[in-house]
Amino acid sequence: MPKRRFLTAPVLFSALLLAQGAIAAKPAEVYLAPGWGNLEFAAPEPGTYELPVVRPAAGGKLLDTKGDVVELDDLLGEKITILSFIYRTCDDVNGCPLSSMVLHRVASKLRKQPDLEDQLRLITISFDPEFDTPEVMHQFGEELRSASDADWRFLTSKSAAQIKPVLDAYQQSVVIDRGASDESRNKFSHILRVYLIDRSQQIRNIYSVSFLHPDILMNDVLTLLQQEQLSDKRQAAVSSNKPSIED
Amino acid sequence: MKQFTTHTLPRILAIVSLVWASAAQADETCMSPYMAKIVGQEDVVYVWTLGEEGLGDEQDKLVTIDVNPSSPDYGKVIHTLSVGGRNEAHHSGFTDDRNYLWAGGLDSNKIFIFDVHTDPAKPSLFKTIDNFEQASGGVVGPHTFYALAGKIMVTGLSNSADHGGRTAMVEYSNTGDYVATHWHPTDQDLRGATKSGKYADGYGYDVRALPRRNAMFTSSFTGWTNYMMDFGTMLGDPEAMKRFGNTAIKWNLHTRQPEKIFDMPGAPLEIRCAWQPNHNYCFTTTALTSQIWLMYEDESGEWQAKAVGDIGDPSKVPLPVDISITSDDNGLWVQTFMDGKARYFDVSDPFNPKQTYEKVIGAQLNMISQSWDGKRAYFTSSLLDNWDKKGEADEQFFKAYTWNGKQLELEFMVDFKAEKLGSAHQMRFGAYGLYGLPRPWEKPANASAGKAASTDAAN
Repeated sequence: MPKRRFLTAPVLFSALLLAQGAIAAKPAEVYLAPGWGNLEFAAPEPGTYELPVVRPAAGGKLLDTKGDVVELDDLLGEKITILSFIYRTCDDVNGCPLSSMVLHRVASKLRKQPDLEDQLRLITISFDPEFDTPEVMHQFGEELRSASDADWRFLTSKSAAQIKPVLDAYQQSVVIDRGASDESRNKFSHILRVYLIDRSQQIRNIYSVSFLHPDILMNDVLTLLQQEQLSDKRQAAVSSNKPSIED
Repeated sequence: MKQFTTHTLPRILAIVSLVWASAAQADETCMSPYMAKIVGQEDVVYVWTLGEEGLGDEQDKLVTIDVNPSSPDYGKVIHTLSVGGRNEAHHSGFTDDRNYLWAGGLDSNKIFIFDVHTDPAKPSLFKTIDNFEQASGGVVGPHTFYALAGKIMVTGLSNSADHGGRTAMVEYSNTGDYVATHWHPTDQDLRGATKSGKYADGYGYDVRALPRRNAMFTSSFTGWTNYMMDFGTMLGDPEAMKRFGNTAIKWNLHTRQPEKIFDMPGAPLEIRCAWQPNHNYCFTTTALTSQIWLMYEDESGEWQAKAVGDIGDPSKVPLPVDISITSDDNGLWVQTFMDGKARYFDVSDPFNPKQTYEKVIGAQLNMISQSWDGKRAYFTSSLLDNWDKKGEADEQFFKAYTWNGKQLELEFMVDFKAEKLGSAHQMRFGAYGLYGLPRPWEKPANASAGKAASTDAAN
């Protein structure tokens, strides 16, 4: 069995324990989500399982990294999409940084699979428009994309009011932590969610910490592609069997 | 505006070396690891309650009880929400974001989805699913509601074709869109699973998961015909007593495919998986044979099942019902319905459970919910409408205890008959802080009950 990934953060964590009134101040082990390393199990083989439709993916008005208004709807459908919600100053190792790192790893994998590169779009949406301006998201994107040619879009919004209906539609729960926010940044409590969306704009899988791993994402994408190919073949077969007017 | 001082990727990696994990604090220890957790004191307990003929409005209802000792309403029923009839109310479960509580009726097959985030003290009915049987392709008896990422897995107990025990799990989106039906393997259709013994009965009951091992587990009970039958009549019917599940199943969590069927004679019911990151095992208990079973991953990575201990005197059929594992995985509460006892087992060696404490909670006893720190435990009385005891022994209560590691001390109780509420079944915790809301009796600056966080990385 592979070794679990832990980090020790004695100083900070001890301080946190003491602040919470805990008795012990021993060093704490921090569990790192699978997405930071290797999976502890073999990702199921593409095409050996189904990814049933969960529900339709929602659209909404957002801003791109130039500050132009974009319709999220317009970015879905052309390609299979992996969509994530983050805020840039999130410091939960198993939260937004995990999501960004996993998508970065997916983008890196695409460099070795150019056929797939054209089939997949990554979208990262900030729910912190106060600090994650289009300029900030531009720089964030430039650094995360690094040498990859992946189609990875970075979006934000004009205001909390603009992003809220999008968050609600995706059932992305976000609560601002008033006590922890300061002038230089916001802090949010939120459930980590990443969505796999097919070309029919249907959500086909939702990932949280445990299953957010590039191997699983890639195999799920390949599974969708195989299902698309099967569907295309079936449609072609039906068309070829259809009697023509001349018949 | 804060400027970038580091490149993003190095910054993310820097976070990894500095960040602290949110301490593993949560509410009751029986919930899904996918779910948002409560940090600190729970504020309310929601009790999914069976309506009783001749009692109050006779309807099933969600009863909200204030359990925060600092609240002026501590120990009181602060809200009830009736759902317009009797459905054989049974189990309930939150969505992973904890915004909604799903609660099912084993007889009507209705599923009630309550909004608990808008006002945690006053849940409202968000939606009723009344086509469970049709949408699922014939599954009957929605039982467990188990949170997955953005989805809910609902276990069935029966089917509409013969009302026997063959059944399936039914998957929904968090807001009630039907997603898929996953039938349990049978001898006629193993669905790719392997039998480790002689049974492949297709029965179902509870579901739990160990996401980090890509493992999901189900247990098995009995079909509609039995669970809606009078308990005494059923016990006297040898044919009916043959119709109980004898299996547990290990599934591939990601693909939802069954992989291995374990023989587990005597209706294994609730499943509780260990919380600690290196504990790859789950407990269950068998109702009819009164045994504790362990499903565990062996050194070769193969999942196995083994009976590891008795509960009371199995020959007297104490009928173990609900169980609850402590957050450190060292203790297992086991409730026995017939003698009304809460029993605490030391399971620090999961292969050798030892009972170290017991207390009679009431004339009959079913469910338990404990706080993450294990210091508070709540109990309710009802099993099934037709299986609850008769006459004076049919006590219906919610009891709140503190546990100091050696004994349970009663803090308060709510008599569900005296309050004309019905029969108290499953409990779920709520807290204002989950939704960024201040406690009504506190100044906003002091509101710090809890926050949303997911601990599923640790599981």
